[in-house]
Amino acid sequence: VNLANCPLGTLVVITGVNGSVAERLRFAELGLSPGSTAAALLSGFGKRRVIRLGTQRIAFAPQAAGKISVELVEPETVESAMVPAAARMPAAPVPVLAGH
Amino acid sequence: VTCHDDSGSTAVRAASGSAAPSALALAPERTVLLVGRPNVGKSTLFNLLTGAHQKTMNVPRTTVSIEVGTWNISDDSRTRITDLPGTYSLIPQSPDEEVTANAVADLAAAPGPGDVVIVVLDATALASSLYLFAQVKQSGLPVIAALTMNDLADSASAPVDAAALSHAIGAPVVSINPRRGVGASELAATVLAFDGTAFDGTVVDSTSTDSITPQRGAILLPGLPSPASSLPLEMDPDPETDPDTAAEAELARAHELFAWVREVLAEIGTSTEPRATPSDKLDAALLRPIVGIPVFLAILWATFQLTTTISGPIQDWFEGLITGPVTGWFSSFLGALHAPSWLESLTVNGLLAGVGTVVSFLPLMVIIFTMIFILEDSGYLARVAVMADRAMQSIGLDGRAVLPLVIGFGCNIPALSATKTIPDSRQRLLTGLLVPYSSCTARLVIYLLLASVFFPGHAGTVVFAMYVVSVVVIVGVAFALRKTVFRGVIREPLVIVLPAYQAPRFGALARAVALRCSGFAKRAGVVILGLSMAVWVLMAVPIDGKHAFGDTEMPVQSSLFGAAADGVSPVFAPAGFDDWHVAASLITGFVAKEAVVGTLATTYGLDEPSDPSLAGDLSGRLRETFTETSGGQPGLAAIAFMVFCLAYTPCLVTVAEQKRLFGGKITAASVSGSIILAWVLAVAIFQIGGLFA
Repeated sequence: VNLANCPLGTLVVITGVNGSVAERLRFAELGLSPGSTAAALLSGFGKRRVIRLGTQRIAFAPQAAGKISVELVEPETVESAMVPAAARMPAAPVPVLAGH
Repeated sequence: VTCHDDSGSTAVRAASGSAAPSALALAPERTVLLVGRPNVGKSTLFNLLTGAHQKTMNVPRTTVSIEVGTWNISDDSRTRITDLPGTYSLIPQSPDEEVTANAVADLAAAPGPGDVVIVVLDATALASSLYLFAQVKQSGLPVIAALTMNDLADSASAPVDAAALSHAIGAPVVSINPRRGVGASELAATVLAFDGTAFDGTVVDSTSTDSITPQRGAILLPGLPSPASSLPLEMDPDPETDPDTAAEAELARAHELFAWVREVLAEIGTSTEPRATPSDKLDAALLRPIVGIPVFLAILWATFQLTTTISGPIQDWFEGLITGPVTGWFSSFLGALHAPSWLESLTVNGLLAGVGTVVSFLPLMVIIFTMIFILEDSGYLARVAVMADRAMQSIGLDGRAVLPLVIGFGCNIPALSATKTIPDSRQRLLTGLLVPYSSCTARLVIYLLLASVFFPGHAGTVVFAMYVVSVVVIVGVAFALRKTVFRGVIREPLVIVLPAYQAPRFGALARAVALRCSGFAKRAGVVILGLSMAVWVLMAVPIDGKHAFGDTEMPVQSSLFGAAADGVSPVFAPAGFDDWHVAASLITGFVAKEAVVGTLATTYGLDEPSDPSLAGDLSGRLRETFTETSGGQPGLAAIAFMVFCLAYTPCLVTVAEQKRLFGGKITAASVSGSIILAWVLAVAIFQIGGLFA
């Protein structure tokens, strides 16, 4: 399943990013890397996709969306993602970065 | 993916230097670069910091423009500040991004005392903003983060703690809200604190009373080792390295940087999980066809109406003011001084006509700039890019190109200005070259006259057909340009970060509109005045020896202008309208299409008809002329004439605006290209149509 044909209104985990190196680099720069969780929101116009990644929304043309392989993580609707961030944070303590 | 060229950075340096000559007398020069993602509010911040002390510079050998200004950072210190094109990364994938990357690399190679980069962070899309911040920080330059849109992040229950962020990223973070005019002084204080090579001052968060003591040391990014090589960040910095290997290494580095970003987000308590925001509720409606398309069409309609029916009477009022009371006052004043008649004619018909043109367009520009700013600032324009993506993609354009092309059917001038909303400079230029083929309302008067004279029973159909022809010409020219001079421009599939919706603020709007109108009046005004005076000179120089220079009673055919029209007219023989009256109208049509009908009437010694569809005597004279020049096919010649009027240069204000936006060479190519295309189309219609007549 890729982002262009995944069911709308679902949460997905990005499993792979295809395309040229430049395309993969641009996707990575936007935070679209394997393991990221996103919400597939709207069909928009045609097969254009808008996803929610964190608090930012990213729109894709079908050709670009088709290069992002995803896996459905839960059959719930996007609204379930509206629970407070704190409740979704991992239980593990926040890592302390080197230098602090 | 990229090739390093110092043109961009050199231009930034040169432009910065020329923007603030007075700064030398006040304090050592300081350079500040403003870097940020597209739609992050960078330009609003730039306008707030510089006020009117800014100008647009075209980067040599590119189509990219940058804004350079002087920031009065304190009473005794001014700073050169450059608003660089928005970018997602310092590894460029377009000429605009390359200019930004090169400017940072250039400054990093030879930083001056106090030089600093301000990276604008979007609190509602912090992850991608921090990625860019990390790249700039790794350049080794002093970096300040300016945090915007935190109010929107707060409304989405995801506010960013500036103090925690500053601690996590090892750099000062100043919370700002340039749309409300908040944060400029705090940002200035922070920049001033970068005195020399060390910074250990205390930075005051403009939205908080907490003090922030940023860390600064050998570790550029806390938690992430310094990069093995400093900027420039390139996909293939070493020509000996296999490009694929270098690219993969860069990709790995991007993942490493983004992992650091995630750690920062975790440290400051910002979740990377998808979170609903108020903007999502709006997008849920506006990005679905059933609601989005009607709203989009309504906004296009409103914009079109604003540029035509609303601004028309205002323009007429200003024009009337110049041609009426102001002209009368100048005539009386010059008469009282016993000035020669040519001087009065020059003042009234040359100088004041040019000034009147500029002044009459200003209300239109205010209206359209206001509309564009509201669409941009609210975040809606980025959605237009999504909605119109499919339609515009068919001619290889960015979805946002739909706005200028539609506005162009009202007036080409604001349409050209609207191309500024397109982030990619090549797409912006391509759209700017297509706008003049949008059939503006000024050309409608010509269609109405010719259609009513030569096709009295089908005038409406003919006028409608001209608009269809306009669309066909736009698509055809776009296709031709994409296959020739824009062959190398690859229209990448749309991937765009949508900014959060926000209500436009009056202060920021007023600043932006005033600055843009001022730029139009200053730069386009010079060209308009120059061309207006040139036309006057052509009209004023007698060639028959019977009239004096500037004689207001001189018939058109006795002037150099008449001779020029007579000399040019044979060029139109293959199109079926080789007549000096017609050629004269086309020459004045270059100045303004509204002048075509008036010139036809004047050269026939008639009054201009108040209603072009009821041409009276002019109707008969035109039928006689076109019948004679076309060899008995006046209708065909009239169509060829209308298509010529559609395709050739709309007006001299368009020329001036093109020059302001794209430079002299591109404008010259555009003007000459449109004239050649117009001639080819007119000849083709007359010649091919004649085969079937």
